[in-house]
Amino acid sequence: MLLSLFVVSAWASPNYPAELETLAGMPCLPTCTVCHASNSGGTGTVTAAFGVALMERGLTGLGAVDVLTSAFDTLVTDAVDSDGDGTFDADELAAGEDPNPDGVAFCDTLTPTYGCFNAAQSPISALGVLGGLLAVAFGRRRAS
Amino acid sequence: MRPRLHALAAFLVALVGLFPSPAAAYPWMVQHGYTACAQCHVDPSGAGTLTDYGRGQGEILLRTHYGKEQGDPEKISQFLFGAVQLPEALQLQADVRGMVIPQPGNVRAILMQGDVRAAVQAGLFTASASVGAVSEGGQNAWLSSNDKWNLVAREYWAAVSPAKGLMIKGGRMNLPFGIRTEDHILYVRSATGTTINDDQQLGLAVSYGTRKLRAEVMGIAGNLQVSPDVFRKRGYSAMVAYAVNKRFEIGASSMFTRSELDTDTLAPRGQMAHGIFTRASPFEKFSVLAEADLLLDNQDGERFTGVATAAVLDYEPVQGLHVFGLGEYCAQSLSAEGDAVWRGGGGVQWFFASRADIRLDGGYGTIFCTPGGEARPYGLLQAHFYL
Repeated sequence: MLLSLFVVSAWASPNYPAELETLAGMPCLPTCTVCHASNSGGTGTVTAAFGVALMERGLTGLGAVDVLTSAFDTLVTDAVDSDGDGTFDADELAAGEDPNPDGVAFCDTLTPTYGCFNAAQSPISALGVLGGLLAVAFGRRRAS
Repeated sequence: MRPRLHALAAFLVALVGLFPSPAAAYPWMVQHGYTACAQCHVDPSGAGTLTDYGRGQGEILLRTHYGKEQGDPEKISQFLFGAVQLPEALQLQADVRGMVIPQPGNVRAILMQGDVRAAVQAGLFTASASVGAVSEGGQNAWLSSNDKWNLVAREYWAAVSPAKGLMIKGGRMNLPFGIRTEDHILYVRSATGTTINDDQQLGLAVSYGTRKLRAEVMGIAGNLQVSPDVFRKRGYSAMVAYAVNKRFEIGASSMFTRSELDTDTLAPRGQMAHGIFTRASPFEKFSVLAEADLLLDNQDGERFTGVATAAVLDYEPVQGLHVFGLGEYCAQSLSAEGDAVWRGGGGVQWFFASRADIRLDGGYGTIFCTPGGEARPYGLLQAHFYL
């Protein structure tokens, strides 16, 4: 009973976007907001209609892939259309579109990337800044 | 430490999955008469690498002593327990923080922090940097870009101190705003984007501190570890705090940031937050931390006015053992029905050995300030250790 109360505070299912991309045959990685209120994710933040539909079909989070697969299969069988536009959620995802009301096409939208090593768009490397700062600090120290 | 206590400590470490933790920011140190942060941390606004004095206090004041002296704190408190003699100007620190989620059938362990920190203090100059790894989360501090297990660099900055109490810093730093705490799920920290987990930004800051006053203002140039540039926030963040006496501090904070596109909403966004906070210890071994922030949000031309509040009560019945309770309330839009969320809870944190503590949290409510977020029971089991 006590153990069942323990839930993760954040980063509940960081593997789900990639899993969903595979499951739905998406042309790109969905953002976390396909299910969560923000891209920070986290327990209790599933407020998007598509995410709620998955939870109603047994999705519990915490990164369990088999549970996500089962919930998604049931969603496909139930022909869920979260935004009521006449196209089923699974088909929207396969087309790279957000199945939520007011959702936008993921793959046509500029989304943020995190990290430095793949950041071709980044004009300045964070590691370069770090190296520069340390070089300045040590240089001054030697000079003194 | 007696063998039985050794065994108890070992059991507790094993219980939480061998995840120990870092010296973080402990704002409840006000109950020991510490309102300022500069004595214990290289960053005068708190958190991060400890000074020699901070290491010493960690040994003398923070941990449980089990009724007998633990030897020379000056030596025990040093890096690697004094096994390696570092140059006087150099501080090294290794921090590990972990959490387990013992949900039946899906037990997960998360390495939240595994950082190596270095700081150099030479004359007027100071430099500090950290690099480490996380198994999940912390994406704003990522150096690598994997679904799991990433390299992170939370802070890297250099500074000059042209006068006593004055420091001019440049680099990636924690934002000066509100109560600086390691508790990054507090609404007042997450809603304002001022956690010390991964919300650091590149910029230039000026801090000033005396026995009673501490203040810092920072110009924010953006987080270079998020790309492309349109997602980077620019603006300012500032705080000022005044210690009425050794056990009572009041403060105010203000910030404004703007980005061409927000990482969450993927739309233009301007955010302001202005707030007040206090740290008080009305009687010995007890402290109250409270903060209230007004949130002004402009999302793609649509304006919202909200609030984020938090109060934490901490009681230390025995040195090193903290019993705490907290309550918080947040609404990103006061006019939107069903937008407000709340959380109430409490827990125990025990600094059971040199540089090591475990923390158990439990309660009910919504984690993070999420409009319409579901309220539910929650529990967290963490362990911390640093060298």
